[in-house]
Amino acid sequence: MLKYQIFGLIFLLFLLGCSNSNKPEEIKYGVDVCSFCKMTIVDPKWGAEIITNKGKIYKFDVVECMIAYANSILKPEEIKSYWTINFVKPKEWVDATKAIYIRTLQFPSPMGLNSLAIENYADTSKLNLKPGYEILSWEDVVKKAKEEYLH
Amino acid sequence: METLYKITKFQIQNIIRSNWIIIYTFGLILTTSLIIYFTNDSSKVIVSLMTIMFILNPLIGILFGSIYLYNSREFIELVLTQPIKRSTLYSGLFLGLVIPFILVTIVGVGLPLAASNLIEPDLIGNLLSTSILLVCIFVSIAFLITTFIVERSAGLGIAFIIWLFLCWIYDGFLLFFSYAFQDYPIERIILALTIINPIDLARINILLRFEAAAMLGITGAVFQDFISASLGKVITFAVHLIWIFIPFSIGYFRFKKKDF
Amino acid sequence: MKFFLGKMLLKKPKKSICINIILLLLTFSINPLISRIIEVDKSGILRTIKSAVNVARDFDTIYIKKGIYYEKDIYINKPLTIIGENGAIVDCRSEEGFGFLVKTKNFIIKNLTIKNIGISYIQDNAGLKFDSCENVLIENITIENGFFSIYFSRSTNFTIRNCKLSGNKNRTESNSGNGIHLWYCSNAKIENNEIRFQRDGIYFEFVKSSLIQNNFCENNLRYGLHFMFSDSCSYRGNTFKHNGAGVAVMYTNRVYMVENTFVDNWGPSSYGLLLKDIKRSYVSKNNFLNNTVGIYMEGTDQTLFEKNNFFKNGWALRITANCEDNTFRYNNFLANTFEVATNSSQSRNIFDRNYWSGYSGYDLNKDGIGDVPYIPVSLFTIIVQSNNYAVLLFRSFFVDIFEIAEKIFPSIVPKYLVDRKPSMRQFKW
Repeated sequence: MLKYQIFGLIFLLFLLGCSNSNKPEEIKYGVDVCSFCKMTIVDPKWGAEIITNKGKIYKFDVVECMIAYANSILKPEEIKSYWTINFVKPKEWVDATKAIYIRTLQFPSPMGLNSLAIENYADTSKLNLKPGYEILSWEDVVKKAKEEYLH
Repeated sequence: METLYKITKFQIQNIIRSNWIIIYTFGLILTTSLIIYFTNDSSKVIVSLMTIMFILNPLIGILFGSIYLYNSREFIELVLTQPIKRSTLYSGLFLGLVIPFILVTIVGVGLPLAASNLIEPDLIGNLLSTSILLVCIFVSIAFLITTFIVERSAGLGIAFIIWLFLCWIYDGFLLFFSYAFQDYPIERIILALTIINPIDLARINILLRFEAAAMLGITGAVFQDFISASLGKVITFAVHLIWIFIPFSIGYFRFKKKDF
Repeated sequence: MKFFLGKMLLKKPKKSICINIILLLLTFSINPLISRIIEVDKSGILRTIKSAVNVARDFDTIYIKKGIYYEKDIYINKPLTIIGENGAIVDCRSEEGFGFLVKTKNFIIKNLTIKNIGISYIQDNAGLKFDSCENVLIENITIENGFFSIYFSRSTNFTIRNCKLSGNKNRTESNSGNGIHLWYCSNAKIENNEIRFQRDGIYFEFVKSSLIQNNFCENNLRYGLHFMFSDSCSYRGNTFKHNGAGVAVMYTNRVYMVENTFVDNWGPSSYGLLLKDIKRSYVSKNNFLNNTVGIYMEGTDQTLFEKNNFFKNGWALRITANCEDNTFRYNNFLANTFEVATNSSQSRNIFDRNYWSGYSGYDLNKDGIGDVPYIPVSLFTIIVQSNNYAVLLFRSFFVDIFEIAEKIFPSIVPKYLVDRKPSMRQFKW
């Protein structure tokens, strides 16, 4: 009887651990380490996260590291969702596959892809963008990151 | 109160009179001194002492506690014929067993350490208090075992198995678990599972005070919170108290109803 | 006659003075290479640096007298030399903006203190900001309470020397900037600087052919030196002490790392030296003392590690499986908790003639080389390398028993990671 209870308890603990299913976790800047490039994450404008089907969360310093990780260490089919920080509202998470990316040298990113993420076009007003920028979709960013970053 | 004091005192005298505890104390003093003399490096001394205090001491605690209780069965029966409350007797027995162990730990390990001046007093205090808590836990488990199992050899066997489980098998299970569920978010569970085991908790509590705080940090942010917060200390203490209290009180309820 | 002569004699020098003055004026107006000195003084005609910059012509020198100048956004677009008197301070009052913004060739700035640079989350505010510059010398500059301190982008041929840069002690990583920040630069020389309390002490991204020498980086929040996509650079004789995460050198070929000291980088997830995606590099005569990990290597190939000292680190080396063709020789490994950790399943790196304090072999033929090969990997390090959580079992009875069993019946620890000729004596480097 006791044996079942212990197993039950472990199972309960397990469920507790897995409970926060599909919400990105807050990044602890200066503490958390990018799963791909191993650097301490410090810049609150650029963070990114992957949540796997099994509920494990991987944190990244920038979207190109997330793409590189998703395509080299994990398999895309293992991943439940991709998240990125809204560049102009550094506490807000945006679904990375639906975000708008602006590629400009005006805002160099930590790993050099220089593609910042925002939720909608209204957010661009806060950026004072100078001419010479490119607007990219998630697919474009994935393609560019694979070409330029993940050789 | 008067009777509690008398029982405790009688027990302590009884235990000290047996050569066994004196030999153990001298053995501890000798080992500790030898370790200090031969290694002379504070962190290595602590690591060696940890094995003694967190592995050997609990084993002695649980085995000696069980043996002692089985031996004093006649004494218990005798006292129970007197108008003494069972709770008083039970507490007296417990204190009478725990206090000598506390003294042994302080004299056997604390004195040589303090005399050597190798380790800072703060850490010595931490080591001793953690070790004392552990001994109390294992003694109270011994009480639990002896009140439930009448047969001496079976009781001692179970005592040994419980010790083996907590200091050895449990860690193996933990390792297996962390391998098996690596792909899941098990940070918190692993942390909880580690904290639940009093021996693991004691070990980590001491490791965090000296060398390994940074090295343990590779497990991730959840654990770092535990390390850095003073909450960690509080939790350590609380978990250990719970471990003393639960076996003690279950044993007590059994003891109260038991037919001798 | 005599009178006349006398008059002539008197007149002649006068005339020459006149001519000289005319000539001088002519040269001034025609030849820009002869420069003027323009003084900025709190009680003089030019009271602000900005006004002096406005007045100055190419190649002039601006001399800043002692005093505190409350200025910011000083924009410089012509070749100038700026020299401060002792006690000349520019205070930006922590307002949004930069101290100096320079976009020119041939610029020199010396002996100046710049204070209180404002924080910005969108712009990289800096005390001295350079964009598209050439031939710049920065010397004896002190920056206090900086955000970014010295920032170069798209520049070449410059020297930063004898500067003392520091951020604010109380800031966190996310609201502080880098000490010396270089982005798309080449031929830079950074020497004898002291950098404290910045996010990264020295930051290199897309920098070529540069030298970092004899700097002292201490107490920076993240890295002492952060080095990315910067080929053919070298750093030597630097000390990186007690930085949040040590030093990171990443995505780079041909880095030359010599005679540096990495000490007290002792935090969770911190390294003496983090190498990621490094090829054909050289690491020699460095001291790694008291770091959580001496060197953490990932994707590091064809690199030679020789004559380094690893002393009292948690792990001396952590090598992931994708590191190939590296050689470790003549290194000292002393009193590290773990010597080498790896999760590689094949022999891909060579260990040769290192000194290991954990070695207990013998030397019967007295040639200074142990007769028994040494395996610097313990079972526990292998377990931890493949499963971080296992580190919670550090120093546990379970692991002790396991290690003893492994020593008696070796089965898990790889035989290939071995130093066949371990040195009996410690090297003196």
